[in-house]
Amino acid sequence: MTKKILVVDDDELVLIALEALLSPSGYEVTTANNGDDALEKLNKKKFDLMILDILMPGMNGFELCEKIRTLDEYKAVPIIMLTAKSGSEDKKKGMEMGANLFLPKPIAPQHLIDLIKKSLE
Amino acid sequence: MKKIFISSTGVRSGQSLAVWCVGEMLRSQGLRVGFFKPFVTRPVSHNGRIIDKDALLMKEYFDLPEELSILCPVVPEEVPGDEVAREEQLMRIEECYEKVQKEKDALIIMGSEKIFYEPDSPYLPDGVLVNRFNAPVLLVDKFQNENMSMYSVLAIDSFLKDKVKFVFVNQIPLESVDAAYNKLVPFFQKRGTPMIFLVPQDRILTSLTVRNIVDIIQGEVLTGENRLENLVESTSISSSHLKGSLHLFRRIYNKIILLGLETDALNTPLISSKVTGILLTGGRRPAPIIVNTCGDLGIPLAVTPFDTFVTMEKIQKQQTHITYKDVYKLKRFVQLLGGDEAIQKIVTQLDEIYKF
Repeated sequence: MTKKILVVDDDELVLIALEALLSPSGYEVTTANNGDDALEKLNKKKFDLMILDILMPGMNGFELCEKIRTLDEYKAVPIIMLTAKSGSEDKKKGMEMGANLFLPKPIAPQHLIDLIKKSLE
Repeated sequence: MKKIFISSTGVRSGQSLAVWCVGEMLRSQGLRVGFFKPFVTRPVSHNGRIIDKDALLMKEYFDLPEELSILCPVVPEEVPGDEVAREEQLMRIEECYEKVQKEKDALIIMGSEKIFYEPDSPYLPDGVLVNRFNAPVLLVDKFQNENMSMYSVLAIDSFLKDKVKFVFVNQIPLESVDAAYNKLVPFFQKRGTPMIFLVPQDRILTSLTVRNIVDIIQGEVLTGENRLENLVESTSISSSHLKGSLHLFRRIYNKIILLGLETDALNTPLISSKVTGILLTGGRRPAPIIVNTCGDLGIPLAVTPFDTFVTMEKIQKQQTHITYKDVYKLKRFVQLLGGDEAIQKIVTQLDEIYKF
C-alpha cells in the first residue's frame, strides 16, 4: 500500500522540493505550510510519516511535534525534523518532543530517501 | 568587484570544468579574473607540499600571481576540528581572501565538492562560506533524474535564501535530455530564478588523450609525438580495427589498440572508430618495421613496462582531473552549455546582480 507522508514547512520551495523528490519514489505526499494546517490534515487522513520544519511562524516545529504525540493514532508514527538549526540543544529538544530523527538542512536527496525508507520499515 | 561562488551537489559533477568555464567567460569580457578555493579537496603533492589541483589549474591558465597556498589555503584534517579549529580556519580563509581579491574585477570562489550537509565533513559547509562572502551561487548538479535535480536546486536555494542564481545540470544521458528539458526548464523559467543550463553527457568530456594514457602507464613514445593529443574513446585488444598497413600488428600479441571516433568537418563525432594509438605491453621493444609503419602513418606508438592486464586496469581506473592542457574540454563544455548565447546570459545576469 502507498505510504502517506505529511510535510510541514512554511517555505513553499521546500514543500515543492520534497514533493518533487518523494512522489516519484512512490509516496503519497501531502503538504502543510503551518502547524494548524498540519493538525487539520492529520485529522482528515492517517499518515505513515511526518517531516517537520522547526522555524515556522505561529506554532513552531517543536510545539507541533509535541501536539502530534498527544494524538493516540500518532504516538508511534515516525517524525523527522528537518531544520537549518543544527545545534545539539535543538536536537535534544526535538527528541524530547518526540521526534525520531533530527536532520540538518540541506540534506542530500538519496540520503533522505534512504532514511525515510528505513523509518517506514 | 563581481563575485560568484561555485558549489556542487556531489562529487564528479564537473565543478572544476564549470569553474574554468566561468573564469574564461569573465576573462573574455575583458575582466581581471581571480580564483579562490578555501579548502583543498583535490590534493596533490607539489614540491613537498600539499596543494589543490583546481588551484594549480587556475593559477597556470589565468596566470595568477598569488601563491598556491593563498589561492587555496586550508588543508583540512581528516577529522573535523572543534569550534576553535574552525574559527582559525575561517580567519586564515578571510586573510587569504583579502589578498586574492586585490586588483580583480571578478572573483570565482570554489566550494568543496558537496553542498549538502554531511555530519563528519572536515570542511566548513559551503552554506557558511556563501553567507560569509555574500556571493551569488552557481550550483553544479550531476544529473541523476529530473526529480533529484529539482529537489537539489530548490532545497539548496531555500537554504541559501535565494542566493542560487545559476544552475548547470551536468552529464545528462542523451535519452534523458528531453525529459529533463521538459520538466526543469519551464519550471525554473516560470519561477524566474535560478537560470538553468542543461549539459548533456559528452564523450569528448569524458575521454582521455593518448598523452594522458602514456603518462598513466609510464610509457615511452616511439612514434607519433605530434599526435599525442588524439582523443581516446575506448581501448581494445582485438585486432579487428587493424586495417591496411596496420595489419602487421595482428601478429603482435602484447598490444592494446587505442580507439577514437572519426570526426566530420564540423568536428562532430561520427559512429566509426579509428586507431588513435597503439600500446605495446610487457616492455618489449618492437622490430624496426613496426616502428616505421606507425611512424609513416603518424600513429602514436608507445611501449609500457606493464603487462596487458595491468595496463588495461590502470587505464580503466584512471579518472583524470582536468589540467590546463585540456583546453579542448573547456571549449566543448562552453559549446554544450550554449556557446556565446550562454556566455552572454550569465555575464548579463551577473551585471544585473552587481548593478546596485
